[in-house]
Amino acid sequence: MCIILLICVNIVFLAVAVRRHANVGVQGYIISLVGPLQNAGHGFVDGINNIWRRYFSLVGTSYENHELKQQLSQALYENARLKESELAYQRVSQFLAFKQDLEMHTVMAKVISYAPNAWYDAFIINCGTSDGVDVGMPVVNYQGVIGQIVAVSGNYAKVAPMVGHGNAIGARIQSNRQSGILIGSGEGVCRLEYINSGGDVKEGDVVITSGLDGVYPAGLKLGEVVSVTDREGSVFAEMTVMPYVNFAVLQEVMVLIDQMQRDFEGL
Amino acid sequence: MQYIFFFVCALVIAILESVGLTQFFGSIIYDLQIPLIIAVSVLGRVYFSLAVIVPVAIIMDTLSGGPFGIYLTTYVWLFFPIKVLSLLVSTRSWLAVALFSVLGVLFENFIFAFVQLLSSGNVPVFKTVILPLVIRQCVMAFVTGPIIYFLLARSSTWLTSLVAEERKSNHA
Repeated sequence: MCIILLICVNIVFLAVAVRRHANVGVQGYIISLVGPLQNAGHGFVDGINNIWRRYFSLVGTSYENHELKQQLSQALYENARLKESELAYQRVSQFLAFKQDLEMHTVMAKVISYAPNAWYDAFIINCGTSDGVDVGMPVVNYQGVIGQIVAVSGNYAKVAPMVGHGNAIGARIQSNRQSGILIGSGEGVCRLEYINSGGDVKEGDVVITSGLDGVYPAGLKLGEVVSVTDREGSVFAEMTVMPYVNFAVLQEVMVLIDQMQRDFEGL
Repeated sequence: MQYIFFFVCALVIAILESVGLTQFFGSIIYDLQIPLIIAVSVLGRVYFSLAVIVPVAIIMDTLSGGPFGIYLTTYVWLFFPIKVLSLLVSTRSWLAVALFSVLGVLFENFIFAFVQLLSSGNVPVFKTVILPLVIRQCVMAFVTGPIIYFLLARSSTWLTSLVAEERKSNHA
């Protein structure tokens, strides 16, 4: 009976409390007592949380950062490698197109070193007698003529570039077919000798190999006329030719194997 | 041991010069074999010096685009006056070695110009290109020649004493 009464009183109390949302005075005291503790507890937990996030998590972030940096450097390396591959691919494509035009047996080679002084130009390539290369063979690339093999070993060969001092090639002006001799000046350009003065040769005219020297096949591009001066008292004009080949950035070259064999077969 | 040391050094210099030292630094870089030739000439006896100089010159001739023998001529003819001068002047002096280096650079360029004059009758652009090049190389040789010389000389002396001590301890 007593229990039933207590239950009824409780229900009534709850019903009144639900309806009025009564602010019971004791709650305020309890809140003001517990609040600071809660605040301190919250601060503590928050602090721990912060330490966890900002310190312990930093360890993870550090690892992640390190990993990301590695991935970035890997990506940059890959990017550089791909760019290099793309450039190499472009050069090789140009070489292949040029090789198809030439219709000759050729050997590709890389430039591995340069002459150790400024007076005499030369460079070493990584192909030699084992590849069929011999002294006197012409060296070209898709831009034009580079020079000639002057010394050879089993796997390496020395090339004298056309711009080297005193190196000569049989040349021809493409437009008017006049032939002369192209001589290296040692300064990165060449002189074109024995071309008649007062002719119709002008700056920008293309100079090609004449084939008359028995070394270079006719029709290979040599360079472009950059200056023409008529010499007083001479029947020949003074001409400067800028080679098409950029000797400063030479990387791959092509040795023309067939030319010499054809010459010998023709004898 | 000293022979191997100088020969390896010469080989390293030749490779460095041919694979890109001149490409990177341009014509300011003189022939770095000159301080080595001076060191070999000063420190070694005549036959020892020639035994180093001749193969080194042949290597340089092979790598160069010039007529074969141009380096051989230069180095061998550089060796004799340096040898004689080293008997008259103290080779411990930085100034003396600097002057020897400049002398070497001038002599080498003179030989190159002379050979070019013989082969083609003229030395192209002497005033505009060659003369400034030689001046730059002389300045560079004056500054760095003694550094290379003393580095080689002291390394060689240290190596020789090390080998001597090793032998002495082995005998003991």
